[in-house]
Amino acid sequence: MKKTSVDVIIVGAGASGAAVAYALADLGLNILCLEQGNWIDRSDLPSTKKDYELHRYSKFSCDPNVRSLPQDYPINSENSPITPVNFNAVGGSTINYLGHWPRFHPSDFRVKTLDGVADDWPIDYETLAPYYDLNSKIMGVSGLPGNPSYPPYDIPLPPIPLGKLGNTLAKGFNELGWHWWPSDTSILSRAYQGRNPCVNAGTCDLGCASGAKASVDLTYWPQLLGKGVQLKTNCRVREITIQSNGKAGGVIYFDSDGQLQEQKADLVIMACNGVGTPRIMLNSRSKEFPDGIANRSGQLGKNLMFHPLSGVVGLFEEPMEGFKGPMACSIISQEFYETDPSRNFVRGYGLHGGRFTTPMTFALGGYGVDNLMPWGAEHRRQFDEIYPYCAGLTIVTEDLPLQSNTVTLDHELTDSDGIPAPRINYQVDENTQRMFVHGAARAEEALLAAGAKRIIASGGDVWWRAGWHLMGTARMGTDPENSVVNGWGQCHDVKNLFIVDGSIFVTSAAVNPTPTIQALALYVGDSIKKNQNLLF
Amino acid sequence: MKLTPSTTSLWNSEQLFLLNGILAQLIPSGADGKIPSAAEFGVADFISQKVASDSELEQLFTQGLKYSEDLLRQSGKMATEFSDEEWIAFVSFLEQSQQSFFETLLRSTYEGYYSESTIRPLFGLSSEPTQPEGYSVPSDEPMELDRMLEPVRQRGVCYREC
Repeated sequence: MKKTSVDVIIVGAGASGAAVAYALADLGLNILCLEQGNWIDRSDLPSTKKDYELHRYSKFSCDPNVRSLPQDYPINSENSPITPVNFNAVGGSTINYLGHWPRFHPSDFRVKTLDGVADDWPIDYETLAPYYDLNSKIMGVSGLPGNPSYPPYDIPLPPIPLGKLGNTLAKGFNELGWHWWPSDTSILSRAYQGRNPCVNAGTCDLGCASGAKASVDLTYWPQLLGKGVQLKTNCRVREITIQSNGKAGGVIYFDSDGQLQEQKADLVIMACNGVGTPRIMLNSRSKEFPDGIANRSGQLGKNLMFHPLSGVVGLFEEPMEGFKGPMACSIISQEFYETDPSRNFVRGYGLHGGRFTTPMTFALGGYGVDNLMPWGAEHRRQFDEIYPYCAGLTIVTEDLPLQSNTVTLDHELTDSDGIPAPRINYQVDENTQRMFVHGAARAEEALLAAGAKRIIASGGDVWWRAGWHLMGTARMGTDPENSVVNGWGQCHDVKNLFIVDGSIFVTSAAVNPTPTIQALALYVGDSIKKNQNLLF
Repeated sequence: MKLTPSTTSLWNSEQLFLLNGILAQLIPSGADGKIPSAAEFGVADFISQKVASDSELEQLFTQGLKYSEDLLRQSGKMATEFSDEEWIAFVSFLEQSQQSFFETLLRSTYEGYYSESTIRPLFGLSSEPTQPEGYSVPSDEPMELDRMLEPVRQRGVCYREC
């Protein structure tokens, strides 16, 4: 084992790892990032191939259990109606995410005070606002300023086109007098910083060959490498080491040749997402921390939050051209986002007007769903009379933290290096289920108001392959008894160990988390800079 | 039933005829003749290649097709003698009695059929990869977008100050 030391080691080269590296890169520190995947070859992405849809169900699936690539780890989701999805490469899940870019609301940081549920965050919207702004400029965000659903903020680029589908849905919301707004997206509406604008390919999940969708291999990493940050790929971290003084000593990892290495570091930063981070930390057991490093609170791996998703689809008179344009982004309605005491649930949800899908995915049940459509005459009818005319709304609910929703270790199921796989135990809570009932009814109203002839799919079960948003499993808090990290990502129990990914979310809000994950990572990095005297 | 000659060597001609008969039911052709059935489109070749690369799948299909052949024999008819109604009944029975095989066959049929680039234009999509060409979507005129959003703006802020 090699034992050369670095100042900072970052585990994971995805959205949060890149952002925290950026915040620290000007300090003149020796920073090393370990990534279990490799660089992707943009010229070889599935979206450049004629059989691109097939790749969605094989080596470019969002589901690591389907991909089963050497850099992937399996996930045991037998006790969950939702399976986590991810991507392991430089860029992490920004390679195959869909680029929808809404911020949290100010109220999302004050849920206990405002609504009496879960916990308040130890930070607020105003604290993160400058980091949201900075990240928007680095990633290249498109959108329309002035959304009355938020305090004012700037957006670097104009919105992406609504398209026929978005324009149609917007009319429905206007008819009902409900809020809607063009989606903020991390997808370029114009050329920006050497990257090309979106070509409306509609296959954002298959990697963006044009580079219009911001993935951090394109945005952050070229800058980071230029600033001297080191990046080692195909390196899989097994555990974080602990020293006799109670500080983290570094990590033990399998290098690209499969050899076990030890990397010492003064500071260890975890950036492996809300499943990967607790997995490694739970696997980092010692005399001091028999239940996983920095887990004296027992909260590590608990409070797992997804955003349970379901959809409502309407059938229109004219073709909706739903395959054109960024997959998940057209318009968003936050009419039902904030708590309303007259409803039978707390908190709220968004109605997202993304696009529709491609033929194979329609035949296989829809994006994120395994439910083969009928064969025979009904198959023919659905393709001839329904597929071209569909437009839908996705109900994106806030998922409140529950102690019983967990990531633990499955010692029977391991990755190719023998590291235990994460096991997911998760149930959709009753509050969320009530939101779905409410949301499905409102989505039907909106679609019918937009001109749908009829509703052909409404609510139903949450989507299986839709665990995109992995949050809460090492939550922030001021009390070391019931949280893992403090208000700037520092583990209560191990002062030189930080977490910057979605694990540290206290609550989930009801929006896509990546802009908030990255804003938090930039904030944590900045806080480390300002509080170096408190690190050891 | 018009069948595209198959280049597969995994199955004999009788099995291939039977498989194509099933495929023609899974994705039937369009009434106007513009949209081919899964059999006419040569999906058997796709399935054959997929099966040949996976021993578990090969075993499942070997058993499934053997079952189908036995079922056909029990009917007392040749596959060429089946009417459309008899084919539907045959495939429906297979769906009920051989669920694992049937689901894999159906999934593979959809994958094979819709992964063919020439089928996509029939549903409005390009036959080309989505990148780098993509699709043309006109930008929204700023004034028109402003007009559409005016009712939303007029309602004022809709977030909670805290």
